[in-house]
Amino acid sequence: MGRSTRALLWLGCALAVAAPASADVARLDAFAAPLRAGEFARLEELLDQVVREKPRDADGALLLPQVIERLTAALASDETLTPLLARWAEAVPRSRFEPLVRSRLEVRFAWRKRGAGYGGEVPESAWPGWYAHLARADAALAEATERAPDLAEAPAERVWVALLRGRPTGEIRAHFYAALRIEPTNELAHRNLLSALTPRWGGSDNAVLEFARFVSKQHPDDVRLGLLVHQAHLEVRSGLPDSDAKDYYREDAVWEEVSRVLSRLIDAYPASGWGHNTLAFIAGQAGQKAAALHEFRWIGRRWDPSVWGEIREFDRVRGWALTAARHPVASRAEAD
Amino acid sequence: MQHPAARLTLVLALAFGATAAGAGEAAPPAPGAPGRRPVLSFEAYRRFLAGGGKVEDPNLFTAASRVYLARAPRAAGAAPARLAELDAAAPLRLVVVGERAALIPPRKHGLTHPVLLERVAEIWRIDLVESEKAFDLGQRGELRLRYQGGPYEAVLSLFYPPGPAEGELDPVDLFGEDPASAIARLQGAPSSASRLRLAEILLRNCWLVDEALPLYEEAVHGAAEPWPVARIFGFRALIAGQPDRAIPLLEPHEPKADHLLGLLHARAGRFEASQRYRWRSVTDHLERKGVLERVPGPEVGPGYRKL
Repeated sequence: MGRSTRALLWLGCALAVAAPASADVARLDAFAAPLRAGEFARLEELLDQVVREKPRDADGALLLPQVIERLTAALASDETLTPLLARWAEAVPRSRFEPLVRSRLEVRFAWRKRGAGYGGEVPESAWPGWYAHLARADAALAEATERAPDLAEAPAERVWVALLRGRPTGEIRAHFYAALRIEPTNELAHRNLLSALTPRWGGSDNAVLEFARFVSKQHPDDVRLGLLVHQAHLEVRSGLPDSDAKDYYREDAVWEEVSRVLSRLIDAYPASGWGHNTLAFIAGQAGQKAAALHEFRWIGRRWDPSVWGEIREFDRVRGWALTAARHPVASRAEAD
Repeated sequence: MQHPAARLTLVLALAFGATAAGAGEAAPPAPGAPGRRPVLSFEAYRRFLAGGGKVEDPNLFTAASRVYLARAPRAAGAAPARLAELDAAAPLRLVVVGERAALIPPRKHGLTHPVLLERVAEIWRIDLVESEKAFDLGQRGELRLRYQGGPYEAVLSLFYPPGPAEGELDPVDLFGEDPASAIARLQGAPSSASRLRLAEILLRNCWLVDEALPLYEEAVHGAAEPWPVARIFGFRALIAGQPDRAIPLLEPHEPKADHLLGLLHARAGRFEASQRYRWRSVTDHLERKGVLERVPGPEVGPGYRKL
């Protein structure tokens, strides 16, 4: 695989590995406060608690990867905060979490060097910086593994970093299995490997779908891993020309498969705003009026921008579902 | 005599989605203090306006609004004028979606800005920043949304026409930090990136346009790569209605700044210049895509032929 092919990425690809949950932002920000205040012992205590108790957000996603991502984003957003990372490392020399944040920060810096365009459009001068930052990210993850061999986050993240670095398939898989030996249902590791199987990384649509279905079958009780099937279909759809993509979910088999995994998520996490919004969105794409209306009754106007993009799209599909179903009560509320 | 606040007849409370907007108040809040229901906070806000804008309880306002109150220039008589305007527009319509609410004047008082509220730690607080920032006037002089993707979009989009698609103006993510503290920290940081961050917070979180725009200019001048910063400044100046401030900083970046320069000239009412830039941005794009080929000609100017 050539470098430009390897680097044929969109920003969306990076987003695809993030948890799809619309996390409880205030809950996550409780971790940023001690970081800003330089209260690193307190921060470590809070993070230890997260590892111990394994809390999940309203969408069923584990909090730890989201906290790490949020802390990284806070440090990256404001260069007056970035030096806090070095102070954290100094204050807690054997921290289990600081290298995880450092690694993600390095990945962000790598993207800044490279830019988000296609590989062919990246200036030659940007590549050395890209690879240097990614090498540092990988080293930080190796450090994290050495400090906390019982945490699956580091090897799971290494799957993604190895992919970005264009490392051989064997190395990518080795990180994946390392994560699974610690935590067989680690969601991040599975999501990252699924990305590695997509056509844009030299894989195929079949490989993506097969992997997602296999994992879903292996772990029938894990509704979060079931979402890999949804992610796989998103990946397949994203490779289609617009004319085919718009009808993708109208295939009965696709609709049934995707709606089943989303419904299972909603059954397990009834307050999942992301789940309801995503199912409504896909029901709209599939022309499934009754299913869409069912979700809109729960959603009201609590739309999720990460699902719909623009509120006009949300309003359009919601209007279609309400009108199509001739739902007099909802229509009257809308008219009011 | 009936208390004027009683005239706030909530003709319709559209509580979209499950919300505790109407959850029981254990005890009524002190006068001037916000409450657990939007109407209680609105009463406190009326009291604030009736008192000439004297803040009795800072918790009545969102954190960004407190910065706005402390730093934005306020015209004498603005508070009583706003009170009179709201009273004249009564009854207001309450719309609640999750943690955001709006008290919306009826259509015949369509130019009166609604009162926006955010629920923070169970208490409804007045959001002065978005009440100003979220609206501008459309081409027919009607109140419309100034930008897309704002935090009150789900509350307001059924009542006001959408704004233009260009330019982000939603609040910058502060990761839970009080904007006052972020501003204080960044004020001492001289780098271009920090100037830009500060400008963004002042504009997008606190709507302090006059303070923010010079900081964008400083950020452009100090940047090692000025184009990305100039581009951000161009969109912010466009949406803040001050296009002429950004044009001189974008002109050195022609032709990649052509589209933005076209928008800025249009906003400044110079339609010929706008058309020139926009035409060039389109033809350059088509030329790059191999759809058109440039045919230079000294007498007729550059022309194009379809490939």
